[in-house]
Amino acid sequence: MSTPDLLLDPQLKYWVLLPISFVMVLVGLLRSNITYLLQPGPKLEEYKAIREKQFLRRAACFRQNNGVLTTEEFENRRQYLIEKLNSTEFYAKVEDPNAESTNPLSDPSTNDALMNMAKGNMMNYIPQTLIMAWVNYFFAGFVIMKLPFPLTDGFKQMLQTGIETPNLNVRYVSSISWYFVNLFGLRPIYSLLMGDANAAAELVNQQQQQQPLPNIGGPGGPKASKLFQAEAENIQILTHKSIFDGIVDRVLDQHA
Amino acid sequence: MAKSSTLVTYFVGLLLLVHSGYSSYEFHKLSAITHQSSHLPIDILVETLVGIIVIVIGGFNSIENSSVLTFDGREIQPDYKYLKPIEMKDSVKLIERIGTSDYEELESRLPFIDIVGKRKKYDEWVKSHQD
Amino acid sequence: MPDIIYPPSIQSNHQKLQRAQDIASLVLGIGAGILTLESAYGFSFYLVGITITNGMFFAVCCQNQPDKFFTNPIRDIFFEGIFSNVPGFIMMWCLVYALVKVNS
Repeated sequence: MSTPDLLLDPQLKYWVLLPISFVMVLVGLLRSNITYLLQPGPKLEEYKAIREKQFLRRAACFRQNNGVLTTEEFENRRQYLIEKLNSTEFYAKVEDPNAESTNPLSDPSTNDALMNMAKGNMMNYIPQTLIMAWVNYFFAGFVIMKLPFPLTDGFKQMLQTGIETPNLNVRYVSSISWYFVNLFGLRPIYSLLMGDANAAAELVNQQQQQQPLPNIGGPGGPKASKLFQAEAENIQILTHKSIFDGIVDRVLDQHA
Repeated sequence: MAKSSTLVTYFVGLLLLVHSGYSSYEFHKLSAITHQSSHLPIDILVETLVGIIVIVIGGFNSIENSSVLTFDGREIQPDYKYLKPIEMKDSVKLIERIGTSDYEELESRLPFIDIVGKRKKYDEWVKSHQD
Repeated sequence: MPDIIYPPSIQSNHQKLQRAQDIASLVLGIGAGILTLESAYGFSFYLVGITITNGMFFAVCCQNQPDKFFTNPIRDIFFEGIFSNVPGFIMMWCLVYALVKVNS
């Protein structure tokens, strides 16, 4: 080796590296359990709202699976669906077209959704911030390890926080970088410990994930009337090709 | 869930890794004192590689399909040892051998059960057994 | 007519592959740490190791019929998991490297 190595006390590893990993694993498991407990149970919805969604789904199913119907059946269903989709019979509530759009924040159902989102985010950020503060407070100001691979000088600022030695090799890093390595690297450990790969993946990259909310007339969702009209148009232009067309010939061909 | 063979494999593999790790630790301590930078002995290398392979084999062993119990109390092995076939026509075979199906909910029609008839049948059964 | 796919099976297969790769990446990290590999050697050790693991998975678990278990077997088995498992490898590598190498 060309440059002499820095001598680091082995006790540093036992009292800094291992405790940080240990605490992060335990906090991760605790967090996953708390998130599970905080998940809201299924809510009772008004039957009209459910009927609206299910009718829309029925139309979509018809559109996707129309091949299994004969031409006559298809025509009957198409007529019925178009008629109903263009009427207001299945709307959850008939809206006054002249009414001003109400403030979405005053709607109680919107508040619920926002509250859940806030809870999820809090469960995500608070433990991370706490651990980072803990690492920064207790283990600041010394080099704990040498990374096995070289990095560019750009990382110096981030990985050597609290070490005022401008010419130190970037491979010597402080405790906060071990925190970052753990933050990204613990997913396989969680998934092996919990036996559930999905929950583990959620723990690590909750930040990027935003669950798609299937809502009609919910906060920010499209209006029911728009969806109904779009579906009606889709059904209108549907070309029908039944799987029963020429089925006798095909079966005979296959078994000839 | 965890089979004993898997646990034994993990244990042996980890033992090998711990031992080779400790050997490597001692070796580096020694070379730090004597200031000789020699390469790692070949037996540590071999021990590490064997440990890795043993644990990976244990990992494969742990993802085997478990056998399933059918409704009439027989234990059957799935057709494939490790994975499940993704085609509908293959994957429903196992479920059907168990004696159910994914569409059981639609087929059994719980709300349409003739509960009065069932009660009557049960009463008759009780009466026939009282004698 | 295209084959109808059964989604729960795909999910379960992917989870099993993921599990094998999790274990392999952690253990390879430990191994790289014990052997005190540095920089490019460590990463190539990982690449070779994970590819051998994937190959074993391909040969042993798929029983030479990969099309039966994955929609796109080569990509799913050999390429998808390589980069998502690097952080776990790096974590174990750094940890064991720091523990084993006494004078650094």
